[in-house]
Formats: sequence, C-alpha cells, structure tokens
Amino acid sequence: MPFVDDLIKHTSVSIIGTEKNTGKTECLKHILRRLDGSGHRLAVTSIGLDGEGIDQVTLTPKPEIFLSEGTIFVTTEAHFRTKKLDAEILDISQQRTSLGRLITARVKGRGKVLLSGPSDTIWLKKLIDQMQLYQIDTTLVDGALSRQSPGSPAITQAMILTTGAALSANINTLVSKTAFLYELIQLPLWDNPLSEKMLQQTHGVWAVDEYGQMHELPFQSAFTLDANKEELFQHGHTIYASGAITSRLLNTLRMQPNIGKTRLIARDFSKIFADHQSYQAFTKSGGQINVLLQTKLIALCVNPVSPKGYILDSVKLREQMQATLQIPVYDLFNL
Amino acid sequence: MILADIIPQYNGIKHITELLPLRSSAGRKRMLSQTFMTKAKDIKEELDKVEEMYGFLLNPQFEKPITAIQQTLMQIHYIQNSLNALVQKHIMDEIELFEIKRFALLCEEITTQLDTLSCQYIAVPDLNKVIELLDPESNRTAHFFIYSAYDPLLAEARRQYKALEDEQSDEAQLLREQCLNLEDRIRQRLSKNLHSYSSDLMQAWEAVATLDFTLARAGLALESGLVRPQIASDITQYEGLFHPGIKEILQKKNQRFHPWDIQLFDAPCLITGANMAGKTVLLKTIALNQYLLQFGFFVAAAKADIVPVDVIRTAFDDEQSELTGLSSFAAEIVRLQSVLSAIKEGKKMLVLIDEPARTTNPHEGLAIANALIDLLEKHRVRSLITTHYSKIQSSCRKLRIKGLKIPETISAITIDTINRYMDYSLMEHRSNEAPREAIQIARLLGLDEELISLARFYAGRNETEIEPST
Repeated sequence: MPFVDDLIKHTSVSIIGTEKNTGKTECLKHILRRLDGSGHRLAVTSIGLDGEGIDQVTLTPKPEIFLSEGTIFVTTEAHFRTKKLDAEILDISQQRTSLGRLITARVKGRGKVLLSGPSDTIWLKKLIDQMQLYQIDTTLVDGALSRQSPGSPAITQAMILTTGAALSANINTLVSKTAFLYELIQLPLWDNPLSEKMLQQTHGVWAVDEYGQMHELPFQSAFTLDANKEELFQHGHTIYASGAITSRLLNTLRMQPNIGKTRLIARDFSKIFADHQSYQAFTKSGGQINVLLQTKLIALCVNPVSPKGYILDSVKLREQMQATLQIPVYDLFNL
Repeated sequence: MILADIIPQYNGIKHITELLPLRSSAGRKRMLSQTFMTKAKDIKEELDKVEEMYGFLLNPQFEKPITAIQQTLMQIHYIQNSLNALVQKHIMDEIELFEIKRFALLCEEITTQLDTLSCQYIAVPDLNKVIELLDPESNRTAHFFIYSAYDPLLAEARRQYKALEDEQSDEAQLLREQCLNLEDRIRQRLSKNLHSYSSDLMQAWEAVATLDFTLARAGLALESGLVRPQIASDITQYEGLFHPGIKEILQKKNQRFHPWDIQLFDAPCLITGANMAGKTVLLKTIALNQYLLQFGFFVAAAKADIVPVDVIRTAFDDEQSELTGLSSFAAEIVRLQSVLSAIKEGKKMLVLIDEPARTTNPHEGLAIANALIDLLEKHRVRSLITTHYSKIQSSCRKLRIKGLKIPETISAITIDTINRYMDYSLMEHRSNEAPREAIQIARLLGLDEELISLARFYAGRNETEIEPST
C-alpha cells in the first residue's frame, strides 16, 4: 500500500475518523500488519475521550489492537492492567488521566491491548518527543475528532483520515463533506513568532495588534461574541479564537465592516465546527482563516459500510472521492 | 502540632512554604508533616542538616553533584502507597514492582552524589539487594517485566507460545494461562523477598523526602537571605530582623524594608508608635521567625539568638479562620482566653498581641490591657504587646517605633510615599504616653480639612474625657 511507504517517512502520524465507525481502528491495524517485521520501529498511543471497551456513542465494541514484539505502546493504567500481551514497563507518568497514569511499555510477547492516552495536546507532544529515547521511528496516534477533546491530532507531523458511510450514506454528500474537511486541513499556517504563545492560551478570544501584542477580548468564548460586537476590533482585525470556531462566529464576523481585512486564527482544522455554507460565505466576503498547527494529510481511507447496515459501492465511492479531492483514496475493507 | 496545621493560620508561613523549592511530592509531604520542635537538641539537629546543604549550595565546586541530586529528586514518583502495601505483605503487581525498582535505582544515583559531597547528615540505605531482585538480567535500567530469567519454566512456556501460529487455538490459550500462572507465582515470590527489605525501602523513602525538604530549606535560605539562628536560653535577640514576604513586595515597588534590632526578655514589652509605623508587621515577623526556628528553618534576620518555646500564641489579624463569624470583640476575647489558659498551664510561651482590647470602649479597654500586662508580668511571659493606649500602668519595658519625621516643606504625602518619611527603628520609651500622630498623619494623607480641624478641636477639649485619669 503506497501510503504506508509515505507514512514511515514521518516521526508522528495521527489517524483520524470523520465519524465513529469510519474504519479508523481498521486503518491502524492495517498499518501495524504492514509494518510488522519491516524493522521500522513503531510506537502507538491514542488521544481523546476514547478508551472504553464499548464505544460510548454507538455502543459498538471498541476493538483491542494487536501488537507484535518490539512495538512500544502508551496506554492508561486501567487498560494496561487488562492487556493480553507481555510487556516491559519503560515509564510511568506522574500526571494522571481519568483512567489513571500513562504507562509506556514495550511488547515482549505479542497480543492485544486497549489503547488510551494523554488527555491534552501538550502532553501528547511531550510523549511523542520522548519516543526518541526508545529509538522509535514513527509514533502512531489513534486520534479523535471531537469538540470535547482538548487534544489536537494536528500536533503530529502527518495524518491519515478515514471517512465512510457512517458519515453519510449518500455518496455525493459524503464526498462533499469530506472535501470540505480536506479544505480545512489545508488552511494556511499562520507563520508568526507569536504562535507558540498563542497555542498556550487555551481559553478566550484574543486580538493581535499591528505591533504583535496580544489582547484578550472581553468574550468568554466565540459563543458570546454577539453581546458586545463593538469591542471586537478595538485592537485590530487579527482575531484568535482559542476554542471552537462555529458558524455563528463566522456569520457574526462576516456582518462586520472591514470583513476584507479580517484574519481569523484557529488552533487547527479540528477546532472548526462551522458548516460549509457559513465557511464559504465568510471566505467569499474576503475573510481569511489561518491555523496555528498544520498537518499533512498523507492518505484518505474510506469505509463503504455504515454501522446501520448501509453498504455503498466501494469502487464508485473511491473514484468519486479521488476525482474530487485529488489525493490517494483507499478502501481497506476491499483490498 | 505539624507545619500543615500552621499554614492555613498564617499568611507569612504559607508564603514561605510556597517559596520552598521542593522537587518531589515525597519532599512536600515531609515538609507538611514537620513537627513543631520544642527541644533545643532536636532543633539543632535539623538546623545542622540545613546548614550542611547550605554549605554545599554555596560551594561552586559542588554545583554538579547538587544539580544531579535535584534532577534525580524530580524523577521520584510518589510511591508511599506501594511501599505500605509491601510492608503489609501484599502481592505487588507489575506496575508496583516497576515503581520500586525505579525508586531503588534513583536512590542509588542519589547515594553516589551524596558520597561525592561527603554528606554527613543524610544517607540513603543501600538498596542493591532490591535492585538485584528486580533486575535478573542485570540491565541496570529502570524498566520492569516478569523476565523469563526468573523461571526456566516460564521461559519454556513463552517459547512454546511464541512458536504457535494461531493465538486463538486451544493450545495457545492453555499455554497463555500457564504463563500467567507462572508469572503470578513469580510475583508472589518477589513480593515475599522484597518484604524483607521493606524497612530499608521505607528508610530510603524517608531519607529522600528529608533530603528534598532539607535541600529546599537551604535553597530558600540562600534565595531569601535567611541565616542560621543560634539557640538561646534567656534572651531572644534579633539583629536586622525582617519579614521576607513584605520585603519582597517592597522590593518590587523599589522600596526598602527597614529591618529591626530587638531583644525579648521573659517579660512583657510594650510597643507604641504612630499609625502605619509597622507595629503589626513587627509582631507578625517575630511570630514567623519563631515558627521558622521551631520547624527547623533558617530565619529572616542578619543575626538571631532565639529561645525555643512550648507554645506561640498570637492575637493579630491574619487568617484565623475558626474565628470568622464572631464579632470582633468576641473573637478578641476567644484569643485572649487561649493565651491565658496556656499561661496558667505553666507553658513556656511567646505571646504576641496586637492592640489588646481595642474593640471596645477606651475606658474598659485600657483596664483590660492593664490587667493583661500585669498577668503577663506576674507569670514572666515573653511577650510583645502593641498599643495606642496611653496610661498603661505597668513599669514593663516599653519600646517605640520612632515614627514620622516630615520636613517642613512637605505638605502632603500619599500611602506610597509615607514610607520615605517613616523612621522604623525601635527606641526605648520612658513615658507611658503613646504618641499622638493620628490626626497629623490623616491630614497628610489628605483627609478632609474640615474634619481634621474639628478633630483637633475635640482632641484638645476632650483630653481628660478620652483618657481616664489615674
């Protein structure tokens, strides 16, 4: 599979589903199988709210991942104790998640384990950096696309996206929804010395003035912008929303004079929850959106089967997706 | 009484503990459980440890081992629960065994560095036997696994399992079960063997906690300019006494903290002085330093000889949370009563009271203050009492903070600039008249002129009515 050849060139790769049951885990398993015995040293972990044996949203069982000898994994204490493999403990975190501390371990005898991981982006970044200690070539992150998740998959160098019938049972809708997400993934990076400082702000809405100074605007979040609009542009037209970017925020900004000068900065594509229509209206009026973290999409995997039982035509789905997005598309369920 | 009990009561102590550069949660727990020491011998032992570390910190030649120790301390996880479980003969799981092995290896590193320093007062027990138990392959890395080297049977079962193609087969399941049973047996054996070293491990844990707490106290002393106090038996004597928290705040405003020189005998001493002259700060500073000494810290002065006491009783506005909700007079009475009951129990005390009986009418207030001072004198209580009352009958020692000296040319001052004209030094005060500068200071601070002139009128006319005649 060509994308695996691309994947091994990166030190960290996240696998993100556009929806539950789009085949994210299948994709991770596929990569692990492909690289087994290749000598490429892998580490795996997870981010987000996942981690239960049963998926809390769809109530489908969350699969354990099969790992072979030598692979390093990071999981929470709770899941480490239920592992069905032999592993040498390498490190234990001092920080805790709701499922306990994080255990870093090396597989000594193949078998299965449930993956769960750090609860925020900074911790994930630290973990990925630590993998150098163990001479790891690539760290795979089982990612989540969720408004609730403070962890951002965009911290990894590259990304694989999975989409499928679970997102929409209509091929046209599915393709257009995925294409919109791809457009967000490609949003230009805001390349500025302030970026690091901005990333550390996890709350509030900020303005960046022409002298490169940050000012916190008197809004709790992008949700409360409507109340005092006149204060929005008191420090210029570069606005950083540290949390979610919603349709309402884009619509509010679009109605303001000087929309042509407005530059909205998001943490990364996963924080943009606006619908396609509001996004288009915003950009067509001249508004710009930039991101602080950008990651490279190396492949798109599609799952034609939905948990409700719909099955889409795999060939048609792949062809249409590829024609629209112009990136390699794979159906791991019909290889 | 332990330090954790005092922290919520005094902002000064809380501030000091926040400044402490502790590096492990073990050290933090040790700090919180430090007992209030009353015996000179115990205090001296504790101060000896701090002084030794202080010496290491001062010596540039020791920078490398000290930094290494500090970094190692930061890696110490909180494993007291695992150690307790070991003492109680529980069977350790892999995670606990990992933690113990890692801890033992870190202790070994600390011992190497302590040897470089030729440290006299703190030593970590040798945990080599623990490491050997948990490192059957002699890797000397802080990783852990139920290694095949523990049991040839386990090695064989694992080999057979590995050779199988299908992990789902009955044979595979059987082998897997066999491996798990063998692992359980090994964990039981390891836990039993480790148990015989549990007191060494506990001692090592205590030593590491003490090392962190001691190094932090030495670091704080260096950072905040604290000195080792000498233990005295008669007179408590400070030169260049200061309050570290307030000094820091003033420094941020580019202002200087004016240190005091003061002696405290086993008798009451009355402090008078203008408003804003720092009487309350003086009391807080003395309380803070007495606590610092008795919790084994260096103190905030250029030189200090301090008499340890059994009990410190204070009555000033700080965070005395148990008294919130009471009226100010009731709260004061509760505080005073706690002073008196301790006195009558015959305890060796330090008593610091800010303006006793100020919350009631001046006539009865003065009477209560007089009575209190008589009792403190009778029981020879080392005490410092501030007051604005004149006509305190006692012949006790009286000190006065010199107070405002304002050049003729200055007609107005602000709360920020008053500091410049205030002479904070202490002088012996012979008269029993308290200084009367309140109206003058109020005027300089810009209080309404009409009010000031009316107040002056009443102050002159009511002289005899305000202060009861003798």
